[in-house]
Amino acid sequence: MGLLSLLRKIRPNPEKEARILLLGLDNAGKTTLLKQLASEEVTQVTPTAGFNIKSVAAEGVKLNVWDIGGQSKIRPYWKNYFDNTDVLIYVIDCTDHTRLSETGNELMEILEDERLKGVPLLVFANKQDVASAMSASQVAENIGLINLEGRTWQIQACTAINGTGVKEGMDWVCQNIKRD
Amino acid sequence: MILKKFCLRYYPPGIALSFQNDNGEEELRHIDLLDMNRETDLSALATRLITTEPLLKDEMHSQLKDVLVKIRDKLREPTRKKYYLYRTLCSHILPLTNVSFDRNGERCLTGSYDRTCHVVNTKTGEEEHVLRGHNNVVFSVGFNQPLCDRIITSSFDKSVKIWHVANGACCNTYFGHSAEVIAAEFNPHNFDTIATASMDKTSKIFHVETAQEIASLNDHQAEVISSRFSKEGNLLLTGSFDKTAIIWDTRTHESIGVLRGHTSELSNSIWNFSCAMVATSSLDSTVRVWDLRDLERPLHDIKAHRNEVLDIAFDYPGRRLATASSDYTAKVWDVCGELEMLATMTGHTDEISKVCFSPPGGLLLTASADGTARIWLSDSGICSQVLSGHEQELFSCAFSYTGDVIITASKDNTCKIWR
Repeated sequence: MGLLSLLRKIRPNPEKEARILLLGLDNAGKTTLLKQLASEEVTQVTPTAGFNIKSVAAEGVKLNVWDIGGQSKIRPYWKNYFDNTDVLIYVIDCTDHTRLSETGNELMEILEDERLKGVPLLVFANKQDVASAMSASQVAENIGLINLEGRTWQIQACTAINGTGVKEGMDWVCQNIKRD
Repeated sequence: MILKKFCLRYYPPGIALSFQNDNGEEELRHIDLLDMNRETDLSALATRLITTEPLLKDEMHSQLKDVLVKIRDKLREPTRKKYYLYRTLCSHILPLTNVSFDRNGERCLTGSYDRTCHVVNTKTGEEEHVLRGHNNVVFSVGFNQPLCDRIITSSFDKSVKIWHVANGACCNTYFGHSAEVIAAEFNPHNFDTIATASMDKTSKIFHVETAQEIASLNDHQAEVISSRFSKEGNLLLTGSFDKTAIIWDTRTHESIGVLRGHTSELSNSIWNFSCAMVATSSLDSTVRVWDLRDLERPLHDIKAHRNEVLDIAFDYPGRRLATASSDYTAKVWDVCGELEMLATMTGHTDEISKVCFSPPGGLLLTASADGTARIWLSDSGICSQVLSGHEQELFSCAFSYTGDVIITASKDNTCKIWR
């Protein structure tokens, strides 16, 4: 990949490629989701200490998906990646009841950023395969998604590890890519 | 005119004569010895210099020869030397970007996605300073060579900053770009201006002291990814994603030539030492070498790579060019006279994104997405060593001026110092 290809990827929509930003707390399942999108094997995912980028073709659209590490010490750097975002995907670990408000607060904070104004938001309510997981609608209500104004958003229940619900979410992404 | 002393320059070989002129002022006269190699007959060279340079007298022959011996000995590089991992620097919390050494290799600079630049002592591996102040990725880092008392950083926050080496304090911030700044360097002539390259499609020249924008060079049609002064500081070379490079006059701020012909984005554009030649590399898989006297057509059109060319580097005298590609190979070319491929470096298992020569020129260093850096014998292409240990792809690498220290920087948030 190299630094040069990073420069190519931060160009505003080169050749009609869409830029998808993947955020969420640590252990939410962002990298697993990214691997699922790229049809890669999802065994052995380690915490992302920086970022991963993959190009994925979906519905004839080329998506550059940026998976950004979610550990608390590197969350302040999420802003590094906000420019030229076409769709924001936010991943929530629905089994992590104790950190639900934390992840909700982080989401509401980034939505305040001017650069993400009007950017469509897809929330993946992940880890639905676990019995104790909260449902998508519970999550949406708890973190205040339903009160969001001035933004197209969707919440999609999924299980990134086996791909359940991922395609439905990405279909929504492709239909809602922001076009200025 | 009275000759005061000889000053030596090892890479590329040269001497400077310090003398008192007729007005009693001290002056320096530079003599480049770019042809010198390990086999040069130094007695004959001394004789030739004495006949052509009025400051040098017959009776200085043996003294001059001694000086030349010292310079030549520095070209006798211990190419069989193996580097070992000296320190791993773990102080950055996000991926690294670019790195740079000071003149004597005592310090190096590391830029990072964590918005800081670290000034690292290469002996202790400790950070002398953490340069904080940028609000986004620190992309390029560099010193004012060869003095090295200032640091210049460019950032995705659209600004450039200059810092004191001594205390790590920010001297000035340079605003004006409307997108990420990819490159920034001092005018080597007297360090009073800097040139920048930005994703906003412009290159700009700023006054160092006042931070005023002196000129905006707006001819490029797409992102500008490199900007480099010629060694006298009178010309600026910019390379762009618009498939061209442009040479600018830094006094009039007018373009004096557009280097056309590449069919895809440029990945780099560089001067050779004498600044008589320019090389441009492109994602169209080719490299072009240009003679400054004829910018209409390239002197050489190098088409041997099977995929994008990601980086290029001249050796210190500016005679050979190294090219690095997404085809996993690097190549070394003789670009003086007829174009000749001297070596192909094969062994990396992923694309090579950075390449540089050791200062004496016997070694080539490459950094790859395969997670390794490799050292090669530049004349044969034989791999001398694989520097492994990084957990993810390498973003940059550098040789110190004396050649005894190497730094590699990776997406894995670490830097490694090798000695």
